[in-house]
Amino acid sequence: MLKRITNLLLIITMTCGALTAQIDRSQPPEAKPAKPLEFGKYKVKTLKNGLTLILVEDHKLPRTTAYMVVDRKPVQEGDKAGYVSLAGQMLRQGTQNLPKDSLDKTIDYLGADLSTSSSSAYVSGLSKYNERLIQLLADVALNPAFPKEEFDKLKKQSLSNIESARDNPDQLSARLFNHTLYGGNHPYGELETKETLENIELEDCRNYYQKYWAPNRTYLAIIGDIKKWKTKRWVKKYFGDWEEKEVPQPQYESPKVPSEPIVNIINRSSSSQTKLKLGNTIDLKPGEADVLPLRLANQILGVGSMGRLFQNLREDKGFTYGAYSSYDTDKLVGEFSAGADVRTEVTDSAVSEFLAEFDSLRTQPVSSKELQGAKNYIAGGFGRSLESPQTLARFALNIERYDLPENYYETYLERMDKVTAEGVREAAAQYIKPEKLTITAVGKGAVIGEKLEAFGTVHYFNFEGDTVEAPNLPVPEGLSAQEVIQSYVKALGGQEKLDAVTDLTMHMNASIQGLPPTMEATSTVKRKRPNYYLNQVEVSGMGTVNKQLYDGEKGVVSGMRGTKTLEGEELAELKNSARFFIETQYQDLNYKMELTGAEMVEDQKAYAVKITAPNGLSHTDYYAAESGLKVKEVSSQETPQGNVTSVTFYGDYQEVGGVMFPHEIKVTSPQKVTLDVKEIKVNESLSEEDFQ
Amino acid sequence: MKKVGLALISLGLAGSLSAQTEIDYQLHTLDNGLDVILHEDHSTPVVAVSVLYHVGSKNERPGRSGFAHFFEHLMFEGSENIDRGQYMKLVQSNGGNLNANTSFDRTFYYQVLPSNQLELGLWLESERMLHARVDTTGVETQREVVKEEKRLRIDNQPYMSFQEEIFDAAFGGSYYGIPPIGTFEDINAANITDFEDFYNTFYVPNNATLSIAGDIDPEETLAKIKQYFGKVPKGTQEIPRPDEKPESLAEEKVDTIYDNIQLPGVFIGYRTPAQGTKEAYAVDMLAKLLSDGQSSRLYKRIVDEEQLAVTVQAFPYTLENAGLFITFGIVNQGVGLDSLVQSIDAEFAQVRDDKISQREYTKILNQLESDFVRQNSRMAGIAENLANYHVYYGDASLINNEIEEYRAITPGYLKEVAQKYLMPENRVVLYYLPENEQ
Repeated sequence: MLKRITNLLLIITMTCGALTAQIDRSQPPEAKPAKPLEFGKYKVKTLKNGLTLILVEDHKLPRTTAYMVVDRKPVQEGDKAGYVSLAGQMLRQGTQNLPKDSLDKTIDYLGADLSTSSSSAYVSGLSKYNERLIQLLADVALNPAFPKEEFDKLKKQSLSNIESARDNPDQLSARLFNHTLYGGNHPYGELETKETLENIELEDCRNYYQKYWAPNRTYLAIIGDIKKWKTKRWVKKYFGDWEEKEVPQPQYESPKVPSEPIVNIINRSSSSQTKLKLGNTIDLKPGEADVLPLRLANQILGVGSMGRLFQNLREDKGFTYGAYSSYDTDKLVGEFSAGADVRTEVTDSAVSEFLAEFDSLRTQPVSSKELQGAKNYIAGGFGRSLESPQTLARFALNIERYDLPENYYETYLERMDKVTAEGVREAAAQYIKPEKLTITAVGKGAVIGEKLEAFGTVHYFNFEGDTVEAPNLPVPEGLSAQEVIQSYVKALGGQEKLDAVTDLTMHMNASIQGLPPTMEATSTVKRKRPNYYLNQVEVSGMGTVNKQLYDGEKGVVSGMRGTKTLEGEELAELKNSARFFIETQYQDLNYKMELTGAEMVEDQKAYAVKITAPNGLSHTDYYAAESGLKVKEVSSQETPQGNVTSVTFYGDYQEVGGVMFPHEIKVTSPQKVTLDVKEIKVNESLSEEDFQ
Repeated sequence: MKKVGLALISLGLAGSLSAQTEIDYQLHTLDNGLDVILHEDHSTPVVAVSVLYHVGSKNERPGRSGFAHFFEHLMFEGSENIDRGQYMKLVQSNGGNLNANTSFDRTFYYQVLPSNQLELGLWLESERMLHARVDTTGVETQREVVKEEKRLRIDNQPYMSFQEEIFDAAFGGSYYGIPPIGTFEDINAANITDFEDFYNTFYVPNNATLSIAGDIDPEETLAKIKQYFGKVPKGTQEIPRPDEKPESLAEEKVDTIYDNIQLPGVFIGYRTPAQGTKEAYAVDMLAKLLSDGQSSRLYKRIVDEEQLAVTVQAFPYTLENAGLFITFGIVNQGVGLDSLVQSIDAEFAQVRDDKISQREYTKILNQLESDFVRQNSRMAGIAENLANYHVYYGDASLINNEIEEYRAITPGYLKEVAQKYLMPENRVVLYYLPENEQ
């Protein structure tokens, strides 16, 4: 009795225990032992005509899918680019037994889906219609009617579609990337255009079909609520008479690999984001040993929200909604690529982050935790994919098509588990090639172009894949160079205020690239009306290293190599430098002014005005559209060393004596010099003695 | 030809339905008000763990559009026991995947895990419900991310501003007037106090449904659920449930939008009834009749025969308190928008004027049946559908027999519903024209 009661109590306490047991929330719970994955069975059979049939029986849902893949080499389409894809669509436009209208009605009546492409056909529907589904698939694939009327419609639609693709950033990006990565003469880089589409004839489509669609190149997979023996009988009945034939095996040269990174841009001025893609071709075929380490490398780099790209560019920086990478193995030529849609302003920063992530993956082994996480992620995805019976068919198809070992997928996770961190690093180093990257960007070209120059030579392309000029920002209609200069004068403080300045002294600190940080450089500029000018550069411990002087008549330049009295053009140049606010005098001096466009200078829109002196020398000034102030100056000069471009930026304008002066002057070319204005004084009654 | 006709007739006769696999489930409610739905299926060792919160953009206060969705992003930031950035990693590095979405009426979180990791899923979802942690770093980063999402999906895509335009035209001033993504202005305005209020009001067990499907033992799972979720306190505040219907349109509204597009397009939205009503089921069927498949009326006439458009589609957007039947078309090059709209209108007129044929009626039911089978092919889909039917239709068993709701609708009733709702005075029309034509 007592024993019974004790037992009862025990049971009660245990039950309560189960309900109220304290769980430890501070740690993720332990996993139970993993269940082994069970692979279903599939059956492969080859028909007499060479057609390979794959059957997967799965009765969970009353549904069946059948699809066929025609395994053909890529086709180069040349000036008829688009005909192969059009041929694929034509297969859905009616058969010799069912005109399009009846075909449409039949498919919809069954509640089925049927679609075709240039190298595949697919049908799915309720399993109560199994035979009908297989019959329809065979009819579409074997007896296409190629009606002219439907061809004309499709062609017209293709032309409309290509028109609307012009504004679609996704399509622009895919076109630009493929075209510039593979080249226009490679089947993977050809672009459909209005012209190539217009060149297509119905006969091109029919010829393609007749040449390439053959049972001996076809895999037919039937999956779902089927009976194998019955299905085989139907397949023989509907596909058995299809005649075997030889199909062309075109060969292609490998795409040209760039010798250094290149940047290709399509300008889409309405974009609020830049669609970035970076990649290179790879030589890796399906099933090769390197596929697994590369898959892991790519997983760690750019798959899902755990990927480093996502974590860095989205979760850390907030540049984008998502950043990812991917790779493709391919019998002909494969590809690695990464990309993101980032907001315009951070386009260059985003590219830097991509490159940093590539570099880190290529040079440093991943941590064992990260590697295990990646393996688990892939294993989990593998397990989930088996929820669909289609996966098994895909495995079977790949084994057949790429001649993989029979147990390739059964041993997949086991083999993956053996990949080491060093193996991952090696794969990354081999297949991600920062020195040969093609970087493409679709976005506001006038804003991002200059910023992307840091990563490689920039080329601009149009929709058709031709190179074009760099884009400009819009210039308001009717705006003239004179007006831009007038706004500049007004922004400085107005003519009156400028006229009131009779002399001026500026002291600046200079940081000069190449100068040891212990040495300090300063620069002093003095001016006095009408045209006295002194510019003196001193370096600590070295004294005056450069001095330019103009006293209204003669010009002298002195430096460490001695003193030189200027003549001719050089003198004229210095005389111009000595002018007070030369911009106010352009008109009087018979300078020509031309508004050549607008572009982004650092973060602001600026108008470019080309100034040509009567002697023919010219330079371009950039005036900020909003403030009117000069923000940049570019001039080119022929020197014995060739053409030297000098680029100067003006910033941090501050008012002194009623006039705005830039307090930061950056020369970025030919040498990097930053001048930091310490002090400006005006109307200090400088005398001629100050210009000796 | 004759042969084809015969084949079709025989199919019509064969149209009696084979038995569909029933989806069994259990429904429990915990003491704190959390609804729990469990479905057991051992065919693959995976489990889908999902939580549906009955809150969407409809519950946002004025000036805070986009908030429910912004908030959803923050629910991946971590909790008292999960450091920032670890939430997603914990799922993925254990072989699972996860995501969430926010609509006008709901916020839905899900994870699909290897079934031996079920408890991990319970822990993660209960951490989110019990004491999610949000800091300013998270808010500021996700603010940028959400804005990028808006740029990616709407601002940078041709035609996609239609979402903002059409809901504004059809529901402007009501809680359905701004799509869940919100406006930049409001996204910028959201602050950390808003998050606390929202969390305490809506992220409570009595406003949530935990739906789990897959390789589980239901009894054991329920016991675990009680351990992880039983202690989550019931919400103390009243949960606002806006249920006043948005005002009907007084008359047809027409607007023109200039967008960065090449081909002009038109978007037409008819105001229709709320989801779950018999009328809404009829609207679904009308949408299939008009635009599912290449034999559908709009496609056949406009894309195929008259070649006026590259695409034309109709889809019923049904919401908890209202619906919008959206039709859009994009013209073929060189075609005027007027002729496209005329043809669309003619097809709508025919739906109102003539009863549909028995053949078309059967076709629609076959298409619905096919969709129905397809949507339950994965555990994640089953978990989501069970939760949806439970919360918004009050009956999870619809996962097995919603098709009966459609079968109960007659061709005559379809015509009635078309006459009641698909009327010009009950719609908004947006013309999309290329910017350079402005």
